[in-house]
Amino acid sequence: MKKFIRKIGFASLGLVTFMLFNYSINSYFINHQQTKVDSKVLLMGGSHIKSGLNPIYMVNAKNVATPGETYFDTFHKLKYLVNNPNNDISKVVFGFGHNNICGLNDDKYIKESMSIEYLGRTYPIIPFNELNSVGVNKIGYLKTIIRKMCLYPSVKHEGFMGKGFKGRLPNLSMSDVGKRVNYHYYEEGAVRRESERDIKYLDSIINFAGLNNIELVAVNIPQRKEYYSAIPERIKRRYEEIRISLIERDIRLIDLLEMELDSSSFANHDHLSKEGAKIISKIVSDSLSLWESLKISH
Amino acid sequence: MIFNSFDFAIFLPIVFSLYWCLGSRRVKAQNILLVAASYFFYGTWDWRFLFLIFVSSLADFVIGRFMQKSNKNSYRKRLLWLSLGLNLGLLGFFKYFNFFIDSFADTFSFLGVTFDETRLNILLPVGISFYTFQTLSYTIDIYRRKINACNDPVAFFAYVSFFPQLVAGPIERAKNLLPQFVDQRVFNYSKAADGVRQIIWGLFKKVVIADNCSLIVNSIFLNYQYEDSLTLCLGAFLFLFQVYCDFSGYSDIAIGLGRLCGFHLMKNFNFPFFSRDLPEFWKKWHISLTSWFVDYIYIPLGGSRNGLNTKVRNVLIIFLVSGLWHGANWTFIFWGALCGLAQVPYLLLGRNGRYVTYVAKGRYLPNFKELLQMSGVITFMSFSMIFFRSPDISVAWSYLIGILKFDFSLSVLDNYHFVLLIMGLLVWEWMFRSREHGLEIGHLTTKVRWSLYSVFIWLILFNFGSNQEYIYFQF
Repeated sequence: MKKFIRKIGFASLGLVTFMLFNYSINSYFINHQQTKVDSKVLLMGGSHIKSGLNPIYMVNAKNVATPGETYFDTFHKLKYLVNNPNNDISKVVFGFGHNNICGLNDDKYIKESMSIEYLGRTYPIIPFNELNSVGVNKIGYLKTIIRKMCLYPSVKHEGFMGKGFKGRLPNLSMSDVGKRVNYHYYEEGAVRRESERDIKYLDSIINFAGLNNIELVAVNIPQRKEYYSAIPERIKRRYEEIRISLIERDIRLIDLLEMELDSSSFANHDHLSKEGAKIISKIVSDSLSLWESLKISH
Repeated sequence: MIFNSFDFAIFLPIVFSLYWCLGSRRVKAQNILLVAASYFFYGTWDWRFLFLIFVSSLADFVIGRFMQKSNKNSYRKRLLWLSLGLNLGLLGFFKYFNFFIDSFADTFSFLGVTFDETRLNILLPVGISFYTFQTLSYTIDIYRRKINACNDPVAFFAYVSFFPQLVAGPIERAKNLLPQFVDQRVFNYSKAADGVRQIIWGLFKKVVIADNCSLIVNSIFLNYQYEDSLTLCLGAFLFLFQVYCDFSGYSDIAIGLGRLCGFHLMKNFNFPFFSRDLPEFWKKWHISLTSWFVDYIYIPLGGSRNGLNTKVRNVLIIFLVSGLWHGANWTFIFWGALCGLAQVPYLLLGRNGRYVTYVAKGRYLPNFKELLQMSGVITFMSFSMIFFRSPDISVAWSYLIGILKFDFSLSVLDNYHFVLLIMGLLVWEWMFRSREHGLEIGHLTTKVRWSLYSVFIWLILFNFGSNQEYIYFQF
């Protein structure tokens, strides 16, 4: 028995030492990491922006959207990137859709399986105490830290930057609009609450951008009528209130939600295909250029 | 609480330490600890069902005692029927009530008669199919006078609720496991060490292979209408291995845990993918359940004693019952029937017990014929698993039709790494096919052993993401 306990103890100690060693190295790399962004315009948000805005059709833009990204994530990401003195970000184009304020966003750090996915990207840029203040699944957090920081040393911890624009194939027939709406806006048959956390962090994004002379442009990507007409009234009302407040705060809004596009422009009922992204990216780019020229002439 | 969770990682050392601190001589105290730990373990699923397992244990203990005392066959038979009625009644109610109601309603509506069926919102207690069969084997064996009734209620309760095998087997027999709760357990270093290896192997199969396969399998089965034939084949193939790794992984962990506590649990999987025909496959897959059906259904029905027709009939019955045991859905029954029908040619040709030793014994590699045979078995089982996985028969048929369309695309190559993972598993298991489990490496040098432990543990931790529940918990 003693031999057994000794061996288990030795193995456990070895494992813990190995993990602590990797944790230390990775912490060092994270603390000294300076993520460089060569563009002045950032395209930020969730999957709607990731597959909806193609930077090759825009001037000096980089798509750093990640699937399911919340305003809580976007705020910390923006803060992290702006705090790097080597970056010169002058404009942020961010997604502003009904899904951005839905209560599902609160689940993303609370439910274990979801938290692992999101924490897997944001662990380098959001400290634990910040996560804890909004509610985070601690088991999910621990699993993420073990996986990302304790098993091997890695120089780069930039999962939060996303992998750029990802064009989707048109596949409207595959999409089940009921499932999509249900996923975003309902929980066990009842309408989800809005995410007060994310609405608050949208405010934080606006304040932060203001303090750092960053121009904000909100974009609502086109969605199919079957989808947006099924969005619960409660969410629509709250969205409308926030939309008005954005306008009052001089945040430019490009609202393309109800823009009619051919079905080949959609990957599913609420995401654009590569073709649709090309169309919308050009519209957004033209709008930005127009505003720039108006600003200059003024 | 599942085995691959932080909760269990805390639970196990505490139970293990307390268990052996009590000392080998204090068997009763150890048993009390095991009962408490097992009830706690089960209670973390749903504490409300602790009452069920308690009632089932108490009833069968008392019935066993009365049966032992009596010599009147009629009285013993009535007690046996009581035990059967109670256990199967519990199983039938919690697992099959809604299924039978729906089936009756569908049958009557087909005949043009409708009635208001009352469906109940019944939660399925985890592991009920396993522990009821375990207690049933106890009372049946007492009735048959194969074993004596247990006098020690604590030992009996510990036997029924033993946490390593409580929720997903192996389904133990009283004559094998119960005496181990009565006798003194002695800590054996080499058995405990091999138990730890078996736990690591089980975790590897579950966390690294099964959970990863489940991601792609779920996606394919969810969108099967839009997938090409090759991808659908891949989905069926990966699901077979997902079930295997999930279930055999759990069994390995259970057996390993048992060995840590000084118990010997029966082997439940014996490298079934190296079977040369289907009869051999069923001798190696979920052995505890198959042998239970043989001992308690097949043989009482006459087995193979009354001619070939009876034998075929009995084999079909046990496969149908096996299908029903797996779940309250016609897909499982169909799956059972399909597997049963596939046995018939072997029975008719008298070829259902050809292979008694493991494949390619004494050789490193299989020959071409053996390779073909094993591939055939895997192919058949993959296709049968379509019914196992599908929510209903129509979906299963649509899935099969999708395969038979023979429209191929190269999109299946996107998932080549899953195939590599399964090939890797098969190659590894091939090397260990004569052993108890895939990490029985006690004979290797210390350096090699510890290197392998490091690799496997690293892989387990790396894949220690979201816990996909064990498939067989739903049974």
